[in-house]
Order: sequence, then C-alpha cells, then structure tokens
Amino acid sequence: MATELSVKGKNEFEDLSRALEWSDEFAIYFAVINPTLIRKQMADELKGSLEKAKIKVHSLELNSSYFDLVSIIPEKVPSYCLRGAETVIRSVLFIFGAEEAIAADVDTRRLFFDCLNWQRDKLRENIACPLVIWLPEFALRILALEAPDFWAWRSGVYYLEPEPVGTLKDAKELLMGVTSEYDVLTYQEKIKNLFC
Amino acid sequence: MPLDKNQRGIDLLCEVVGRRIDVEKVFSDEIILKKLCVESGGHIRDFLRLVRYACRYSKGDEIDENAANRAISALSMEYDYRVKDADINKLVKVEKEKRLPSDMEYAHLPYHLLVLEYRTSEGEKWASVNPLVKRLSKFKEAYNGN
Repeated sequence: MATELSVKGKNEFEDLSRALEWSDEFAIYFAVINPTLIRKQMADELKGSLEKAKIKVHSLELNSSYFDLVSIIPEKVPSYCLRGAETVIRSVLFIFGAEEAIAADVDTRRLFFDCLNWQRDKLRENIACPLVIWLPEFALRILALEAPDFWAWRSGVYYLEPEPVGTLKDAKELLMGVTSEYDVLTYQEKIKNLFC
Repeated sequence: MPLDKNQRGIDLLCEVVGRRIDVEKVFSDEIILKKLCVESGGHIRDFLRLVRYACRYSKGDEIDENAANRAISALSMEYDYRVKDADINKLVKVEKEKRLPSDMEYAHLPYHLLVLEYRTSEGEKWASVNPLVKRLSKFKEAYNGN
C-alpha cells in the first residue's frame, strides 16, 4: 500500500486501483500528484497491485516534442492495449510527462491541447483499455481549461496527496546543503523542473 | 412556468438512471438521486458522472446522502479549474439577470458549462450558472458581495 500518501491520498489511491480493476474498456483517469518522485513511486505501486490482479500495465512517457498520442500509440503501445487484438489481455496504459508539453512554449502547448481535443474520438477507436494520465495539479488545471473536449470525457480524477511530513523531510534535506542532482542544473533547467 | 426546477425534466433524467440500475436498491433514498440530478443542472453527462462519483464514495452497499454530498463536492472542485478569476463577475451578472448576454466575452461560459441555458415551456430562453459552480466560494463571495 502507498506509504508516502496522506490518509485522503491513500483512499484515493485505493479508489483508483478499484476503478481500474473494474474497468475493462477505454476510459480516461487522471492521477494528480505534485512531487515527481512520489508520482513515479505511486505509479509503480499501482502497477504492482494491478499486475497482482492479472492486469498488464504499459507506460508511455511524453515530453515537449513527443506528445501526439495518436501517432505514438500504434508504434509504442503493445497490441493487447489496442482494439482488434488477437489475444485479449486486460491492460491499463499509464501516461507520464503531459506537464512537459504543458510547460513548454505557447505553440507547443496549443498543439498538445489541439491534439487531445481533436483526437479524443480517435483514441477511443484505437485504444481498448483505460488510460491513467499522471500529472501535477498545475497541469491538470490548465488541461481542464484548454482541452475541454478531452476533459469532458474523464471518468475520474484522483488526488494522491502525499503525507506533508514526507514533503517537509525532502525539503529539509535540500536545505541542509546535501548535494543534490539539482545543483548542477542551469537556471532554465531548474525552472523547468519546478513545473515537473 | 417559473425559472426554477423542472419536475418533468428531473423525472426524465432519473428515468435514464432507473433504466440502468435498480434505484431502490442502489440508493438509500430516491431523493438522493433527485438531488444529484438537480445539482447537475440537468446536464446528463454531469448527472451520470455524479452518480458514478457517488458510487465511488459510498461506503456500504447503498449510496447514501454522505456519498452523494462528497460526489457533488468533488465535481464542484473540478469546475473550480475552469472558472477564471476574470469570469467571476460575468457569472454573477448572468445569475442575477438570468440571461446570457449576446456578447463574445460571454460565449465561452456555456461552452465550458459554467453557464447552462434552458427554455421555459413557452420557449423563452433563460440562463443560470451551473449549480456546481454556484457552490464555489469564489462565486458565492462575489455574488453576495456585489
């Protein structure tokens, strides 16, 4: 079970896990969690719990130049996640990195949202399993405003709030001068990381 | 007909759910389903979403008032993302005048479902802020302050 989440976050984690266990059709779920590290950790935990229920999980990583789902999916997603597959295997598709396209320049962001809005039906035609889009709350807020057609099809939004103590501990370690991977980043890279 | 709840519309929407599930078994009281219907403003996708969310929040075999309230609150918070600060005064104006001005500055409000449009039995159009948006404190404060 998720150990880094608040009580509310744990409940939402269980709700999401249950929703995915019950869902065997195309559906769009949002898993909202701010700290990147905990987001990945929770995704791994959820993957483990789904795999115990014999549900395969495949992950896709988007970025600011790689976000056109309709083009990416036939290349990168295994056939068991797609419609018309010869063998039916229960599966879930995790999508990460939407926040990178959202935090990119205005043109990229617009293109990303246009892709989501216009390709909504195409995604449903191609994908046979539920999608879980993992992203921080700032990105969800912008997506809800800028991609209203895609947003309208959501089946659920799950807020996986971390335990505040864990966040404070991480912040404390950073402030204590412990060498961090962030030290070597340029100013622009640090700004970019703030949005991730 | 007053610009208020349309009982026939509510009954029809509840029938949509009633054809899919046994309402008496799933809801601890049929009034809860009607409450979800009213809070959706009559928008069918939001109505079904509220029923779905209420299932998610129910702790036992039935959807009770607590689960329904949590569902309403959760969906209302999702609307919070779509209400820009610049829209608050426009929403207050729509709610006070019960009409949507014919102005491009207001055109996105029904598109984002922040405002819902209705017709009276005489065919006259009127508009109201989505009940889920009316629950947001930023709307309430502006509405009561203006």
